[in-house]
Amino acid sequence: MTSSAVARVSLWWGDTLAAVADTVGGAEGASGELPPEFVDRLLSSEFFYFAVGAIAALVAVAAVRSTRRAASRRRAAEPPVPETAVVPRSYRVRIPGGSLSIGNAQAQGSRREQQDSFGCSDTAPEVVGTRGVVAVVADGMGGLELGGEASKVAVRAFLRTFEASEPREALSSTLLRALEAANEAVLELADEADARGAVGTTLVAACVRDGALHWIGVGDSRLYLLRGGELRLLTVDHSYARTLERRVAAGVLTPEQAAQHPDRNALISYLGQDRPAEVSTNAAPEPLRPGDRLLLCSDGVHGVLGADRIAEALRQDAQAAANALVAAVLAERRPRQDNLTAVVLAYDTERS
Amino acid sequence: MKRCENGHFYDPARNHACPFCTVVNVDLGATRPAALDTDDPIGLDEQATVGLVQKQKGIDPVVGWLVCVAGPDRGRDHRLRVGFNYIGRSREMDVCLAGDETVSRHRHAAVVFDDRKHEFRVVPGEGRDLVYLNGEAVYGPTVLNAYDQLEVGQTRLNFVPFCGERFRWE
Repeated sequence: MTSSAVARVSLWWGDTLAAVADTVGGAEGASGELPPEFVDRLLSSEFFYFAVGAIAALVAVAAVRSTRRAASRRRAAEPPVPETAVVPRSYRVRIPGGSLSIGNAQAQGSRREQQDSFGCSDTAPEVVGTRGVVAVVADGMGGLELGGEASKVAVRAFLRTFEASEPREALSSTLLRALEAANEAVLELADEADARGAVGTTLVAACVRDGALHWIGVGDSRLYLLRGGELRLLTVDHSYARTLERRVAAGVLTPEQAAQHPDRNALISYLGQDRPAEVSTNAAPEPLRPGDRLLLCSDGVHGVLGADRIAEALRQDAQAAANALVAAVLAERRPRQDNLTAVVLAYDTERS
Repeated sequence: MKRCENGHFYDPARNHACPFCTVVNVDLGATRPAALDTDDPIGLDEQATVGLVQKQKGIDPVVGWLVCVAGPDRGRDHRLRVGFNYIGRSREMDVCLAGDETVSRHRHAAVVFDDRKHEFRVVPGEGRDLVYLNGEAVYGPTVLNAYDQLEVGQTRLNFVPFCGERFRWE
């Protein structure tokens, strides 16, 4: 990395400290004294809600049971129906102060090879407690199966570097080092095949540590955050399309010319370059709120589904969401469907 | 859900090894999910569904293994359990050889463990494709011995028993 990049990293770290200080300060002063009659009313109303909730739960359980019984009776009579609705519960990781549910799904589309790779760091408590959890998606490119191999070695190198990192190291510097290790791994692979410059991969990584999100990305794989009903794209696509848009804004190109440009989807930054031309990362850690959903995906997903459909799919359990996203893309039956990968992280605090 | 060593999550009730780690270099067409965790209607029949449910409910102890020594899945092991273990390319098969296009999708062959006699046999499949035992085509149930080699499509599987004279699940 260049010295300017390192300088930027140290700047982010300063912001991290400031943000942490803010959060700690803001948490105080929430408690106070309440008048006793108000407490009484609150208490009785809570019992009331509890009773209503309990009855509703019993009714719901009874309803589910009767439909299940009916369903099993039907199944005995009819030929078996594939249980597409049965999705196993997401993998759940306990993290300090809450939990992270993780779901993943992948499909090859109509490509001859699966060139997307993904992975999640070690979920053993000693790793999670000291370093957090990181999820990675990479979309490889290059012929002769090198693309698939490139994304695979990049993900592996990234995860190994993260898992073996010094716990006291600033996270932004860990992520940057992991990205460099991934780049080295891709270059090594390219050199073995004497194909430097012809093989590469995108990589996007999202890390949750101390209840906050940190991320880093190169290329056009994306990270989204769904909070409340709103879907936010956190990463920047390092594709030529962005350069074209800037030219449109400057009045050099018409929007039509830009939309039809043959190199629109070419990447201007990726792993496998001697040094990635651009790396984007978070300016400050994003404190997570209960119910937040994160999506890491390759362009086989976000190139097909619009923001509203992505947001809709994310409003469920993490594994169900990942499956729904892949199923929604495949249902479009695009003739040249690219490889697609979705990794979903659902954050919740201790209470739920 | 279970985490594999490469950091993928999968349902062990459906796949005994991580489906995302399988290398599948086959053109699957535009609409078939390669590793999507939903049931595939093709190749599903009543028998297979029942088998799946039984596996989810109770402990179904391993009685032996088939280890792939040649073919696209070289190095991978497949667990064998009591009763019929169907071999095929479909994900519904007990021994799923997803990477070998020359294997029948559905029941190319089966390895059966009889837990009364404590005996393994290989049984030919229901289709036209042959299964070979130590180089000879199998036309009827044939007893398997340790390290016998099965050939299905381009895949060669070595048989490794766990249950037999020296060990039994009681």
